[in-house]
Amino acid sequence: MSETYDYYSDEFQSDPAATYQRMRERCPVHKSDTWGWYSLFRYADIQKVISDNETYSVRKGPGPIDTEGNPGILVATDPPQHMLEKRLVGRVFNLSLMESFEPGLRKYVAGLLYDLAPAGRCDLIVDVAEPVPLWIICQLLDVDFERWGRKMREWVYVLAGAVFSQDRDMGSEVLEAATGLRGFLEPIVDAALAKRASGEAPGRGLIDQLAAAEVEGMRLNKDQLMGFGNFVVIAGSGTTTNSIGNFFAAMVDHPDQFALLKQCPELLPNAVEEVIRFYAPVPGLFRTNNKPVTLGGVDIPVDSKICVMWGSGNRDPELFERPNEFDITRDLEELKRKNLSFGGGIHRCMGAPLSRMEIRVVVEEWLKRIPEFREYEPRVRYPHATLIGDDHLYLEWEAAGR
Amino acid sequence: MSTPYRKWVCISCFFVYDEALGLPKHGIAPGTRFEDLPEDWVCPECGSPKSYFELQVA
Repeated sequence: MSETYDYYSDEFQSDPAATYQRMRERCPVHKSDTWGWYSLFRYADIQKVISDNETYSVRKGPGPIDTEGNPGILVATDPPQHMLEKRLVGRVFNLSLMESFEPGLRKYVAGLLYDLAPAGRCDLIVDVAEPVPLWIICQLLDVDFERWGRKMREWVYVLAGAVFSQDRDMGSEVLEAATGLRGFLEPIVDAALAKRASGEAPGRGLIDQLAAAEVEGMRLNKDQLMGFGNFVVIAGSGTTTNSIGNFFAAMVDHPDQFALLKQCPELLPNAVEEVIRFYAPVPGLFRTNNKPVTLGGVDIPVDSKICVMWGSGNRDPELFERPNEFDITRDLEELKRKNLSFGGGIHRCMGAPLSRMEIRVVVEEWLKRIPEFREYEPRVRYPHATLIGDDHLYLEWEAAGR
Repeated sequence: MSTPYRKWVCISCFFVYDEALGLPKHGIAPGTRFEDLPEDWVCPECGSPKSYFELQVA
């Protein structure tokens, strides 16, 4: 019997690296009899797919369910439309915008830790890793974090999980979250479009700025602005939450590397990138082939859903030396270039620099106040299959008072 | 007078190709104009094609 795996199994979800290695060595191009889709485990096959956008499309969506026809932006569009969208979004959502949030974020994190540090213990995920990306998203959208942060967390928790759902009929929890997020975004989008129509200057929020932007005569319509808003809220939060959690879990699990980091704090950017490589919070995303293809000797019929396993590519010795070693001294430039956790090619995550910055600022501010910590209860895994990470990470330390 | 060197930014990952510096590690000499890069050249950071670069405006 040929080698197999189930993406949704406890075996995969609890220790994906073991499955990555087994499948890479024994069945690098796998078709799931249960779900009908293919998974690619070898870097060489992954690279082939992400560098050929004519053959491999995202039109059927990034998850296992075919969403062709739904309004989508960036993550569900192919060139040339995708290129125009990226140009337009990049006019607004770019490095200088992302960097502009660092001082405010540092203050926000310092405030969080001012309250947390004297307590001597926390749930790192709930108390730090969840609010930080949501605070950033509220800054991006120019909305009040105190009012919307908690709501957003509830929506995102459900909706991010739903990306990998196999159910075509969304459950009531998902529908409720989708309706909540829509009810939040729609007035923002409508107001932005009204300003555009009347010639009023756009506000500083991302949606206002995007509504006003134009590239080669193209402007975003309501569906696209809603799609982008959804995308920012869903894709920009859980992924970074997991990576912040993974960073602290990695320091607990690799005390030698943690000691090295404290000795050489200039290695922090390398450590952040290594955490993202090693843990790959999004294990994989999908492409659809526009024609019959053969990958790794396996014939794949046209219009198949193919899951590109970022996490496995990052553990392939063809891509990284000693791939299963967590090593914060890896060369930063090489790590950033090869790391597949943000995707690759034209669909590389535009928010990657923002995510890296969020993790780095949290760690810098934390270590100023809490240089030593330990896990006081076993961590609890995130329950949805889209993301791999922790739902709860319980840390404690010697509280020194304010 | 020759045109000043320009910078080109990848719209996928924000990598900047600086014509003045080239990419010596990748075999591209300093002073290589963006239009002189091979048509199949891709972003060294994310792998996006040349069409995904645009001129960086100061």
